[in-house]
Amino acid sequence: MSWFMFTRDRPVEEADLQAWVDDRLTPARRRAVEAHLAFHPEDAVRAQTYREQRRLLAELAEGLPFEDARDFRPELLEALAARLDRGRRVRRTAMAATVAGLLAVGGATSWYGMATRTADPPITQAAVPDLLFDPSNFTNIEEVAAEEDSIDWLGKHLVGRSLRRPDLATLGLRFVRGSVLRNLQTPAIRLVYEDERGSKLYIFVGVVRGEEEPAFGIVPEGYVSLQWRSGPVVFALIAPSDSPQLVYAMELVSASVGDEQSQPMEAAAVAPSEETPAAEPLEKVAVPPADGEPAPMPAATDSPPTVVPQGGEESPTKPL
Amino acid sequence: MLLADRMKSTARIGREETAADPLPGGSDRRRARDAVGEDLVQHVTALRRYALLLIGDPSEADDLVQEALTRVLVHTRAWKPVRDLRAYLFTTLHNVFVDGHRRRRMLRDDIPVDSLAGRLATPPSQMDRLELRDLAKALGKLPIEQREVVLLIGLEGMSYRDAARVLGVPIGTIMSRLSRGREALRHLTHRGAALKLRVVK
Repeated sequence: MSWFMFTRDRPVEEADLQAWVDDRLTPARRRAVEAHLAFHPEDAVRAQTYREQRRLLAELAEGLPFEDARDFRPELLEALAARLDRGRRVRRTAMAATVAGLLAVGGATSWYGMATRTADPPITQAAVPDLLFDPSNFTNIEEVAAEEDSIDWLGKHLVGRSLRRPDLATLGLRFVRGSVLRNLQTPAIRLVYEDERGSKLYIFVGVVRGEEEPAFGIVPEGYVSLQWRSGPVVFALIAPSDSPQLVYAMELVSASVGDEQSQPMEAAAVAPSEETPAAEPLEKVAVPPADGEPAPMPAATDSPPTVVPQGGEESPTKPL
Repeated sequence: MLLADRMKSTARIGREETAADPLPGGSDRRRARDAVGEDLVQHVTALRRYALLLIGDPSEADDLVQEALTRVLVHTRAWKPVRDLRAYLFTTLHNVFVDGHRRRRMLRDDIPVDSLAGRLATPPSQMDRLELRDLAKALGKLPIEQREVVLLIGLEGMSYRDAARVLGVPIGTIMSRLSRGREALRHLTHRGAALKLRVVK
């Protein structure tokens, strides 16, 4: 997916066209592709035909003759279901921290390359600005049921700004749950995202007043922590250290804070760099640009190795 | 309907599993296990569909799926939890497929998908039927690598990244196979030609 992440000003390429067919473009990129199609009827015909192929393929599959679908190798399926279920239970209990997995793909550097890291990072070790959390108090995390609740709750502590739940779908990350962190000196929440293979990314968001400076905690081995500040809002992002596109994730997260009146995506309120506190471990991570739109790549070239977005997977294709 | 089959199948697995579960207070476990069974049945249905369209012959396709499932069963250990069952199953299927291809040359480039189109369970409309037959025929003419990619992405809705993992190739390769596969399908089907004429006029 990474290949279309940083494409705002790139010409539309064949891969964009395919991604349009599969509906896997960011809204901005989709607009760019559709603008291209409007002026290139040959490509438009092609793309439409490909979409039609998808539809027909689904129809073809729907009508396939599976006479024995109910009884397909029942003993095998039952044995497998039992085995997988046992694996799940073992994972949940004794082996919560195991670092092993059938899907371990050698050298994988991606969200799901971390699929084998089955446990949440121990929360008491997670790096969060000190003013957001005192480890001794951290046992009292209140899970909230509805995904928006924690955001709404925190939003009440923000004056003159709006807060949305960061949408990381373009990175293949699905929102899992939000929690309100009680017993802290400042209002704070935790958001958990997960990729298709269960690799997790944590976002801590807190609201501070005045000039309090966040401090740094300990990151569990194998995780990286990025902390930054946007006005009164303090962020910490904790993810497997070989995660790609953390800079891009930062930008998406930053974009969740907006001025009260503005359009969500157009107005990410990002603090000027001099306001960004305590950037020692992160100073090479570019501060998201103030114009809010996900930036093109340049940030990555300045990043330390652990946070360089993995855009290197064969960027496809010829220009159209 | 597939969905109905799926659900019946799930129910059956759930029942037998729980009947054999003597532990007290096992309702949570039962639910968890039912969920596993349901996932599995859905994935296996997708796997069979994929295998069938991949190699065209129903019994060979089911043999392939069975071999893949057996391999998963043999290699799955409780201390090695499976994180993404779907990707794991498809990856295993692909490996079995490649092994089988090398070993027995069981695949021809020309797959009798055509016969399949004649056996569709749901009678589509006359027009669609023609199109589907065309598509099935064209699919059979695609190089196998392109067929895999077109099916994984276009039918199973896999992400490009997942497809790359399943097939063990870089994502750029996926993209170019996808592009070439779709273009080949377009030229191989009347539909592509017809649409072209309509729009160009």
